[in-house]
Amino acid sequence: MTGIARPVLRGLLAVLGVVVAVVFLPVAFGVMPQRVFDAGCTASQTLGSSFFCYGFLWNTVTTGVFIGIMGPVIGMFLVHREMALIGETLAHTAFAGVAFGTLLLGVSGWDVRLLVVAIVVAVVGALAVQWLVDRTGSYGDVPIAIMLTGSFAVGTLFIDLGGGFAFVDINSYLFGNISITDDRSVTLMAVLLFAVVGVVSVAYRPLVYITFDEQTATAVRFNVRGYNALLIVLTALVIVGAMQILGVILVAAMLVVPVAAASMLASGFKDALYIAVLIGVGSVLAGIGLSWTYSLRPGATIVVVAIGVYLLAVTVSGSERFT
Amino acid sequence: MSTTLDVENVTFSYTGRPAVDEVSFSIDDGEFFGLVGPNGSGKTTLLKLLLGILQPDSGRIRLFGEPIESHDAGERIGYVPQQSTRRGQTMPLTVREVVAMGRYPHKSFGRFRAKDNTAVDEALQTVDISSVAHRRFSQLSGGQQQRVLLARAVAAKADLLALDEPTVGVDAEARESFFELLNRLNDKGMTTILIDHDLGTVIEHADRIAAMNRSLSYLGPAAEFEPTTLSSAATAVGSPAGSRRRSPQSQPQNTSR
Repeated sequence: MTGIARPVLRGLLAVLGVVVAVVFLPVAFGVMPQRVFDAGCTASQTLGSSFFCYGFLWNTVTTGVFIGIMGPVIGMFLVHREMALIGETLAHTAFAGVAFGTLLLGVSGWDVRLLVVAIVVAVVGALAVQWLVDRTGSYGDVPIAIMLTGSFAVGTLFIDLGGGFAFVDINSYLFGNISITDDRSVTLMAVLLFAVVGVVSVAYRPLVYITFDEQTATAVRFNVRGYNALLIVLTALVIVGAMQILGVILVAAMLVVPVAAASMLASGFKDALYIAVLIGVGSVLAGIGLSWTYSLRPGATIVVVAIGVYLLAVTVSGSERFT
Repeated sequence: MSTTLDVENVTFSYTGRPAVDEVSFSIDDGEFFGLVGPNGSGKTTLLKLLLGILQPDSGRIRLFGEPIESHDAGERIGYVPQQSTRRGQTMPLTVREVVAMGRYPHKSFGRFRAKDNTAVDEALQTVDISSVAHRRFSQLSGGQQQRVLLARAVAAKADLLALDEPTVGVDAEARESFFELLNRLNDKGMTTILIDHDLGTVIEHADRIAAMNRSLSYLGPAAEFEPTTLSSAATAVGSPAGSRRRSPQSQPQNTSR
């Protein structure tokens, strides 16, 4: 690998792993002792901020860290298959899911968890994208554009049918919201984290092979169609999770930008994947911090920070190997 | 001698347009088999059918003695596709990571065993690319990239190696060294199917040749193949009738192996 020494990278990842296991997973599953929150609040106040004195911000940071890990893990496979816009498309499909949830709320008053509805609709949308791709034979512009605009159009109709914006703050889903994640959402995010990281760890080799050389992967009898469907469904899960903080419009950046930056810095796929995760988590944490401090929208702040890291990577690497 | 591939009356069409029409032949174990023909004659389509990438509309293909549709021994296949079909030019992948892919069909999940790592090391040495093992694949020249893909097939310990225009855009020196390597692998028993734009190269290296123009227009020993019978192919390939191309009469004995 170039620029960044492998032992330093592995060390940083180990630290991240320990922090996730000791801090963020207990927060996500609601088993963190109260005294840790109190200690966090005290430490935060000592530094002149009340950031960690708010319970919802613990949820936000936890969700953000999970997004920072999951986004690049899936993004590595999407970006290098030239499927970066799939993330954006699925975000719009998930938006249709949220809108469908508002319709259910408006019509029947059911207590529908919007996130769960969004996940179901996004997965269905993901399979529809895969079907279109199989039928048209490529991840070309046309099926992507049709799905992207089509699902946004359907979502908008659902909102109108469900009584407009009366039942949910759609603006939060479009642009992201730092306080949108409640206790149940963050638990769901932890489950998604396990699912995404677990599946990618197990299916890593077939996914890398198919990403690099789909024809040969077919010749050596990998189930290419099955793995493609798996990848796109996992993407839908990540997108719905990340949509809460980043918003529909900016969510794809978390799948693309850290990967683009990491691909400038590393020679190998695994190293690039690890660097992308560190950049993803770093960008989310810095973005949330800046967003809170300066009352900015979290999604936009995170994306701008990540793009700053990308530009730094371009400068440091001095290479044109990835654009 | 047993048969690696047995093709019987295979037909394939792209949306009604026939690309391969009633093709039959077989390839013996250890044979070096050349596929030639003009552009659009169905060579690549036929190769994809032989590897199971495409399914024939009709006819029967047996690979390693089993029907291709039920055949699952992916680890016995090595494939060097046309350069344009790969995405490696933007992907961060070290040479070693690409070669290690040869072991993936053997070991799709779980940790690599010692024999997987040994096979990768040996493949890097066989193809003489150990010195660039930790370099980025996309930074190598076209010729070196093709050698890396050959090493991937060596690491797989493939019994069948299929190559589709492997040396397009590769300079003459690298091309010669590539084919030397290919001959060595074939001598060790790796059955080889080669599509190449240079008719002379195929005649020089192959034991037998199949000339395609949707159906087979020639099937027989390379030494007896008369390039003029494939005038359209000779025009399409556009390769100069220079030193590399040899007439069957001038073919040295040792090239028909």
